[in-house]
Amino acid sequence: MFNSLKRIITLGWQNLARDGGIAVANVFIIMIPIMLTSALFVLKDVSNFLVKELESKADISIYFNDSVSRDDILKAEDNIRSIPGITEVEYKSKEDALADFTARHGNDPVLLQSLEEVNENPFLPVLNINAASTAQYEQVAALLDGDQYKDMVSKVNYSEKKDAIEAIFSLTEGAQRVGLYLFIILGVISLIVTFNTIRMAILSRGMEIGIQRLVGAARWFIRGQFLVEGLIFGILGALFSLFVTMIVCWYLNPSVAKLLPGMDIWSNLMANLWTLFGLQLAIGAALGTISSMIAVGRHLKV
Amino acid sequence: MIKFNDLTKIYTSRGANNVVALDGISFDVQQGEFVSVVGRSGAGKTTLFKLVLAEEKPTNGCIMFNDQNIHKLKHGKLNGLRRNIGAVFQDYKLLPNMTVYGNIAYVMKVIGASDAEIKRDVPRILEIVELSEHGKNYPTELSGGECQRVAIARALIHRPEVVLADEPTGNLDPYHTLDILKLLLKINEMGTTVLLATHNREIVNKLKKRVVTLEKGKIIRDEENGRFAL
Repeated sequence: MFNSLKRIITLGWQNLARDGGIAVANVFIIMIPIMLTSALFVLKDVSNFLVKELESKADISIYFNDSVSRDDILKAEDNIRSIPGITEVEYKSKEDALADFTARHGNDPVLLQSLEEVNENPFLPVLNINAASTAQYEQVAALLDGDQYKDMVSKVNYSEKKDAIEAIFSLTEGAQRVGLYLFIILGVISLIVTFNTIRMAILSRGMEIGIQRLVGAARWFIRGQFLVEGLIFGILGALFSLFVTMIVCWYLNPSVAKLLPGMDIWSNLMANLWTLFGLQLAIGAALGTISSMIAVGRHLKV
Repeated sequence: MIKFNDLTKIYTSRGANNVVALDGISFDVQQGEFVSVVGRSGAGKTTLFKLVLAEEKPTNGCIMFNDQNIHKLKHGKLNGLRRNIGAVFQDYKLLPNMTVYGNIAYVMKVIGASDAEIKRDVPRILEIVELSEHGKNYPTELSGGECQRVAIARALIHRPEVVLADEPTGNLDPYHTLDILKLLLKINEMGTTVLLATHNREIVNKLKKRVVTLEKGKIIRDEENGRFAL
């Protein structure tokens, strides 16, 4: 048994090595779906980053009357935080708001002069709120409409931002859906291409399989060789894909960081390198072995 | 050793007429016999050999090999049976990217021979077929006759009881034809049963062995020391 296993592995490797050109073509073909998955793996981080960035812009602000004490505002903050799905609540006193404004418009002398002419701090204390979906914003708006907060709140900018917030959420959801559909379509195409290429390669070896059958080789012995071959294609495809993914991420990292400050695709890749390699290996091995098994099965019917 | 009992093979395909390749033939082959199966193209010679190798299933009748119905054997036993039959074809069926030695050793590897057995047996069989100096050559570097001798060596390497040679001289000139014929006789003298399918009148007449003549899937003649008469 051990001898047969050893021979299957040796023959599988020798068959593959005997026709280097076809082996290289198979490895490259198998790399297509693996690279597609790898790209999705890396782009998932970029897309999450972008979605987060975009969704953080979809916030609402609650402006409190000047007379409301800091303690009351912080109590309101606690109440808002207790609503499920609220991701962030930030309190800004009127002093913080003024400091922010001054810092932001430090280069605009006209604005700063206007502020001086007012001769008092025109800003109101505010709570900036971020939520996971538009439903939570509705809940916050409803809470603040209640009697408890009616006299405290000067203004909630939800109604004027509502359309923009909904547009942002539907845009991010739409982008994720389109990405998923695109992945499925490309994935199916690349699977068909991979399967057919491996099938053609095996079809060209019909005589070899025929000879093995005629001399009485067991089916599992013949299948075994192609299983080993398919497995090697998959492993090589996964290794090369990992290598290419690393090079691409390393090369693109500075440009991505410039475009999306805070995004570091290289560090993300390094942090998830083993997960990605496991995924690539699983896809490569599954594709290589399944395609080989189905293709060789046609020759073993008799 | 091999009994053909009322063997019929009909090829059916949708939208086309059925083709009767073999029509109820019956004959026996004894151990150590040399039988030439002759007939025009389409007479059923190749179909007969395919049925012996269990590459095809008969429409009716059966083939008994050492009292076992070939077509009722399970895969494991069928593999065992195939190891008892060596097959030689007109187009040699040699793997072009393997050397002569590699082509023969490949078969031994497939049937689970040890490395020591391969090293011992391949040079021996190359000597029998007089190709010892060509072990490292590739099939493309050999003549047709030499390729056929490699194919015969490959068919013999697992010491089969029977050799089926389907038009082994079909692609060869008269000189190489004689060469292959001598080799098949030598194999037969060593005790191996030989079934030769051919439409070469000259070699059949030279052999002076049993001749089974097929025409349109039927046996029309079965004679000891027969001659090619069509």
